[in-house]
Amino acid sequence: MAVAFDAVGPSSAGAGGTSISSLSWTHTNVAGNAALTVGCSYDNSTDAGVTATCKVDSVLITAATGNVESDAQTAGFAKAWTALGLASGARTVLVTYSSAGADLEGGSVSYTGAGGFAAAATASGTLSTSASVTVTGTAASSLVFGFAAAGDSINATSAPATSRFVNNLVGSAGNSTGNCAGSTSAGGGSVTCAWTLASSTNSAAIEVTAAAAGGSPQAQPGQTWLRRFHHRQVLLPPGPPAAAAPGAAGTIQPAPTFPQPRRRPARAVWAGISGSTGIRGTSQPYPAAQFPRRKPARAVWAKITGGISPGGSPQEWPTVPIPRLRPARAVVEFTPVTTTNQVPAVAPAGTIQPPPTLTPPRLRPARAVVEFTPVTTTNLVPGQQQPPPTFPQPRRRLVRAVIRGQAGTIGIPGKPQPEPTFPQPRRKPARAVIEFTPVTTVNQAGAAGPAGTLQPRPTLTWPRKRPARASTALLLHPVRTVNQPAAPLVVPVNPLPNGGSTEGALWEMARTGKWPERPPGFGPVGPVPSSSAVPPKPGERGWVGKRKRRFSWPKQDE
Amino acid sequence: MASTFIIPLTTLPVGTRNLGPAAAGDAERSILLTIDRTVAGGLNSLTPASEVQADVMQSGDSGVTWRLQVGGTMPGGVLGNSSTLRVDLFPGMARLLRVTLTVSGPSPVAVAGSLVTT
Repeated sequence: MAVAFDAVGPSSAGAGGTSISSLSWTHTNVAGNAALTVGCSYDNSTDAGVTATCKVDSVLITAATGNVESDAQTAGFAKAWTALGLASGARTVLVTYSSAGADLEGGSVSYTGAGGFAAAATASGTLSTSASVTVTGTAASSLVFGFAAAGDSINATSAPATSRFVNNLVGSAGNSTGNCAGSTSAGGGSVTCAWTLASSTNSAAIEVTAAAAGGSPQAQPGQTWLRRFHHRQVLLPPGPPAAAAPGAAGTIQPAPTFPQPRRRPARAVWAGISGSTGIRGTSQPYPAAQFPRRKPARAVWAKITGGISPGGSPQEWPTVPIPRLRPARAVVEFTPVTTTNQVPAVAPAGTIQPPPTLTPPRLRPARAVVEFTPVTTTNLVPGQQQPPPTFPQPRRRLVRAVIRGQAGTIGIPGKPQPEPTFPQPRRKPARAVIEFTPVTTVNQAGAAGPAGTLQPRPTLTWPRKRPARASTALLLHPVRTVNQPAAPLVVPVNPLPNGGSTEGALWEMARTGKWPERPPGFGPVGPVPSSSAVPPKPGERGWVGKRKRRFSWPKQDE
Repeated sequence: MASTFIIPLTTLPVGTRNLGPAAAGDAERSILLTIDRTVAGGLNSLTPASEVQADVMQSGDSGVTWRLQVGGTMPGGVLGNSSTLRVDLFPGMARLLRVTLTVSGPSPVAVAGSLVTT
């Protein structure tokens, strides 16, 4: 079955990025059990010591080449990887470098009918408008994958190769790489993969042959490269050996994600082995009774005659005991040692010292003692006393800031302290309190009284020298008063006209229209009736004036 | 016709964050993701211990399933002014694009940039 092209990933434009350390894309292979080749270029001002790995769906795949430096410099290289047995579908290809590069470019190609890969051929060119690499001895049923990286744009893939992807990510701005391309060529003898470049620049080329099942061609350096580049071609050390046997159908079983238990340990059987395992002592005798085997120790062929066993005669049983090559388990070997107790010794001569009759002094004081060395201190030489400060000295620290429910008056941010919910004890008593204990005094019993006689009580009442207290009470003595003889009652003469009576005054007012000139205190209060009014009669009552004030005329005899 | 989707300046904590999705025109064929490394707190101001894994995902079923188109690890340190990723879009109609940024390392990373489809 010939190898055939399957798919390219991620597309005919490849994938690329700048200032990154890894590049990933999706490769979707159509066929199952596909083979895959991955090519990626690393471009940087220096690539010394940079390593690269490639994973497909997080599984490392085989590197087909080392770092193929462009023009054998250290400013960019190309590298290729291969994988077998990919199931159909989308696969994530991840190329990771140990150090970030200025730019990375890559792509992948999958194949059907491939059973393995031949060793890759590589080439490194400098300052040329083309890049090529040749592999010889390819089978007609194989397919050759070519990968090139260049410091300038890759214009085209030279016939008869078929371009699969071209990624001119940085164009002419590359160091030694920065642009890449992948192609496939039909196998058969010597195959050359070549590309034309935009300008004379460095390049690196890789050729990987996907061999058909059963084939394993060996790539050899080609002559085409020598003619074009006039440099000695270097065959890099081959990568890991490619699988020669055809791959099994189906997908690769992934590694188990949990520990696999041991199937079952074979059990050790001790049976009549003596002296050959290094264990001292006697061996266990054979059991007297026959113990049935619980399970057959091995597969037993029974009642099958002919055609199963291989030809020939079975090996004879050994006639001599075959020693075990190794003890079945760890054995500690030691030599038994016999120990003999010593004969009791003779008691020492002499008498036992009696116990002391005196209490021996304590060797050490019972309590801790601080021992110190006396120190003689000397006063300093008298000097000038530091004068008191001439300005107020600030307190070094505030005793304590106390906020008692006053918000915003001290300038302290935050919520003021709430009033305590329980009585706060006074820190100091409000006033001095003398606390004492009542003392009960008891007269002494049986004591003799003072000598002499008691002074008699006074027989006279002694006046108080001073009043006991100030008093406002007066001693009232009855006083008889005599009224003065009654004085004659003076009646003022009424100077009113018309006989000096009120009635006369009223008539005079009615006649003249005004109150006569008389002393005040007489006469009615209120307006006076007009002159045109009918003179009231004595004792008559009525209303007068606009406001209808009530008036009453006195009677004739009043 | 090119379309540009701006990734605003954002400080991403350690972890994964999806940006988008954004609709890609039926006639557009390629995408270019650009992450500015020079922003304050960006990749250029960090050490290589900090990394941003950028993945451009594409969906052809209105966001039910997503397929990686291109991805790259953008480490910290001075590595130019920007980190970019370029790839072709997978053919299809009514495609959606999403950018997944995964920050790893000791500190958050500030990112800004754009996703251009052409």
